[in-house]
Amino acid sequence: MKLFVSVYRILVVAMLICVYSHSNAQQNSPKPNRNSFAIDVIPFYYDFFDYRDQIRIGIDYTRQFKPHWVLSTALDMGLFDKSTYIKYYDFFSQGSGFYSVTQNAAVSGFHLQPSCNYYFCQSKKKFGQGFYGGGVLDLNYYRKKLESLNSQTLESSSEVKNQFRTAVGIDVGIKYFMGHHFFTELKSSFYCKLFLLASDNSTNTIAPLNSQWSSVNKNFWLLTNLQFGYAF
Amino acid sequence: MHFKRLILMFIRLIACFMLIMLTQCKDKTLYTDDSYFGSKVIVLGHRGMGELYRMPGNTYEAIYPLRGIGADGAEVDIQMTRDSVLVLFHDHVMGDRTTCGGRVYEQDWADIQQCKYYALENNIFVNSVDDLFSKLPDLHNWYFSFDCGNVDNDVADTNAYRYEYLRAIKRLCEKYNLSDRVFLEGNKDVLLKAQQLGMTNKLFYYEGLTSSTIDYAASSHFFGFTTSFPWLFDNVELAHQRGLYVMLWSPNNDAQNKEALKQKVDIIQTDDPIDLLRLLNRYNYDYVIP
Repeated sequence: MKLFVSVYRILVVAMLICVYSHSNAQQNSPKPNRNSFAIDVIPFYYDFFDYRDQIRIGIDYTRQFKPHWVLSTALDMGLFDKSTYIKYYDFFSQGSGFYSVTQNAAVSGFHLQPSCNYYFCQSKKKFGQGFYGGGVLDLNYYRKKLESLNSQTLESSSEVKNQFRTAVGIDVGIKYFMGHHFFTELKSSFYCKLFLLASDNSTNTIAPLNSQWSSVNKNFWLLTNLQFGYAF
Repeated sequence: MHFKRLILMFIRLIACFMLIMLTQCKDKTLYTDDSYFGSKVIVLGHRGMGELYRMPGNTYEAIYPLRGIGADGAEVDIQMTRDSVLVLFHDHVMGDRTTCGGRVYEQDWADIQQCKYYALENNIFVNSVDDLFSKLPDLHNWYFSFDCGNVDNDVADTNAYRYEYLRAIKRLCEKYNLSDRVFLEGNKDVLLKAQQLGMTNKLFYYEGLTSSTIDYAASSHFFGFTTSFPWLFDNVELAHQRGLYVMLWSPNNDAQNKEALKQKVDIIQTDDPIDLLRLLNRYNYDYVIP
């Protein structure tokens, strides 16, 4: 937990510095809407279409630093997965009797995703509206707490796993302005794992829980995000 | 004015989004998997992961992910080759789904094991049950339901075929010590023959739930019924009162899974095991489906 808090603080400070420097730069900029903030809508996905609980928030800050180039930093953090998995055994009580093993899992953490994108098709009327593509990094930390209980032996156990993963990927997206300030943005990123550090290598790797698809070995994954935002 | 219109449009967009979200509101508390007999509903995948899975049903590739996701086992269709090898295959003729032709009971296993399914991936072969059992990890925590109703009417000597077919199942169950975990689904002739052979598998009568069939199943000491929605006739409770389990094989989507739970059946063979397991807190989210 201490590690999580420390890393989290460092990242928040880094984000604030980044945002502050960009804000200062904007004061000298004559062009409007070069900065934007957006919130993720897709994180609500699990809450409504699945039976897992999530309390997540995803925030994206973007700055257009050249006519076609933008730098973004996305932070997605919170509780990524809170779920219960019950496995029943011996339904007909033919062996040791009907029993269950209940596992309660909670995974919290963050994804920090800096990216650099190029607008290969940009509206001439609305600054920042168009299609873009580029490269993205993913710095991901998860802390998983797993509690299990055997209903027959009443044995319970609890374990905590920390996992840090970095990945690199490509992304494509589209940004559409509804007027001058508000916009909606849809972007997809495809990631490839660079390296992974885990406190316990004997258990399964935690899949990237912000993704909509991941490969069986969890080395590749796809993330699609719908965002609403405000540009200024 | 223009700005107000934009704000209004944005609010409408958010409202539409929230409306969609609300319609998808979680309703899992309405459904319980408690069984009449004091345990829980057994969740079996229909021919494996179900008909929507990208691998063809009745193959090792379609069956082995079931345990990973948290299901309790699989329903499979069993046929027998000319040399008495039990094969996982559904259709009467092989040509519609595989690179081979003819019927299973007309050919030897040496011929059939070369048969590939027409599938999204290459090299998905027709499997024998022996192959499947030997490959599956943690086999003694699986439940299987063998659908034995596919070829009986076509063979020249039905009685001889049925006898050899059940003997092959018995040998296989004894080899893997799985008699308690392999259910047999069939008509009354198959089940009575199984009883004559001293098979200890749980026998599920392939019939609709009417008061007369329930009486017959109870008096014949069958374990339960295997049936579909239209044949339940609201008689699940009556079957339970007579000590008979009810296995339902028709649910193929989330809505039908929920209807099956409402009907209080004991075993569900579903084509959508993922949604059912998620609904019941029995889905293993750690597992990545291949």
